[in-house]
Parts: sequence; structure tokens; C-alpha cells
Amino acid sequence: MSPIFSPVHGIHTAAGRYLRRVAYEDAPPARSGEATSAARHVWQIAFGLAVRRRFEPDSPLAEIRRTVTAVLQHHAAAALPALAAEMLIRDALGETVPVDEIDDAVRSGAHLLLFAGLVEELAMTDGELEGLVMEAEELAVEVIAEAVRDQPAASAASLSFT
Amino acid sequence: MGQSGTLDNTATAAGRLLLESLGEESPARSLSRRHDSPRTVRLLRELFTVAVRRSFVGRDPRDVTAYVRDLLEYQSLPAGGQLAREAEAVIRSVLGEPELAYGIPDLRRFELICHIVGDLARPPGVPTAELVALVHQAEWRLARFDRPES
Repeated sequence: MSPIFSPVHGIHTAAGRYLRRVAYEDAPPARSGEATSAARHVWQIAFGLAVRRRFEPDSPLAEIRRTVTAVLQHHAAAALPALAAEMLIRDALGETVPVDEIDDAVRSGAHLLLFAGLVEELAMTDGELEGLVMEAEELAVEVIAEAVRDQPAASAASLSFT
Repeated sequence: MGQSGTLDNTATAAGRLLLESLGEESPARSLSRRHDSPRTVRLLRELFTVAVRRSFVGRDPRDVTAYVRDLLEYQSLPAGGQLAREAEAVIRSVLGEPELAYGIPDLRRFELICHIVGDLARPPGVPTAELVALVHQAEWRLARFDRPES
């Protein structure tokens, strides 16, 4: 296991902590544009986990649209494209949908904001949210370890979004 | 809606132009050449609305995604990215989600409408009589929306 993931209980990465702060509306998701690829990967996995908890693969599109609309209205300043956001959710549900050519910053912004919206809709407790983020971190560990191998001098702090 | 029309029964010159284009070997390309006639472009937009609603209202909305993918692949256009999302947005914009297409430039929207109308409303898939009836309906919509307020 990567040294980043010590056996200490709780969220281990700055990316995970940032994700939790976004879910608590305690951090500006606009900073997602500065994220590392490892951090983006954690967010993408967490987003996928939340999507699959909230929706079934055959959930009505209108239900998905309601979630997207609510999130985009709540975060109008982020100006996320509605259809791209919807497609990211459907992609996470396993549908074949057009998700190419979505800018990294837009993609991560959507992952973060939709994740926060889904956590809100699911009325997750602090413990459930922490468990979800930790699960995403564990699933992302190979990618993060790869990033560490590619940058051996980098400290754990470099895995944050800053 | 009448189903016994011929090309000559079409009331307007714009309608006849659209029907001529739809009868050609490459309808989308032919339709795209009509861009210099504002009346024809407006009629084409109405025909697009009519054709899309007749094809998709009452169906699973996910059918739109699959249809767009098939259409773009058939046209050898990229089917997994921005163009596909824009095509879906343009279609869904006339199915009750107009906001989806707000950011799409007019020229791109026109090109997509040409491709979609050229596919949804052309013989032999759509019989000539039905096609004429569709254009009549589009003309009626155009006349209704162009009517000055009294």
C-alpha cells in the first residue's frame, strides 16, 4: 500500500479532504481547475460511487435531469453545461453516451458539484460521506501510487489539488 | 393532416425548395445550401420541430442519444463528443428542453438541423404524401408564429 494511505482511520488525501469540504459547501469548487490528475481521479471515482448509490442504470432520464438542474441552479456561477453534466452521470451508470471533448476543468467541476448534490440528495451522514470518500481513495490508490512513482521526489502534499 | 399531397400542392416557394432538397441524393447537403433564404431557413426549423416530435414524442428519451450516435456514425462524423451532445441538445430543445441548446451557435444549429431533417424526413423512408403533409404542417406553424399580433 502506498505510504500515503497509512492505516490511520479517516480520509487520507488532500483530494479526499477537499472533496468532503465541497460536499459541506466549505470549499470553492472553482479550484478544481488547479487539480492534479491523481486528485481528479479520486473525485471521478467518488462521483461514480455516489451516482450509482443514487441512481439505477435504468433510472428515468427526467429524474437524472432533476438532479442536474438542481445542482446547476444551486451553483449557477460555475456555468457548467447541463447536457455534459447529465452525460457524465449516465456514463457513470454504464450507458454509452458522448463524454469525449469535455474540458478537464469542466469535467472535474461537474464531478465535484454533482457529488455534493448527490450527497445532499442521499442525505448522507458524516460517517457515510467519509466512508464514500475513503472508498474512492482506496480505489484510486493504484493511480496515485503511479503518480508517486513518476514523481519520486514529490511529497504526499503534491497529491493535493494545489 | 392531409396525406394526399404532391410537390405542386405545397403552398409556398420555400416549401417546394425544401421538398426538392429532400428528394435529392444528399438531402442534408442540399438543405444546407438553402441558408441564403431566411424564409426557407425558418421553414426548415419548423419542419425540424415537426419531424423530431413525430419521431420522438412518447419514446424513451434515451432513444435520442442512440439515434444521434447512429446518425453521426452513418455520416462518418465523430459520435462520442461535443458534436453528439450538440445534436442531442438541438433535438431535445424541441421536445421540451429548449435551454439545452441556448449556447449552440446558429450556424452549427443550422448544420445539425440539416443533417437531422435530411435523415428523418426524406423519401423513401417517409412517403412523398406524408412528406408534403409534414411540410404543410411546418408552413402552418410558420404562418402562425409569423402572424403579427393584433
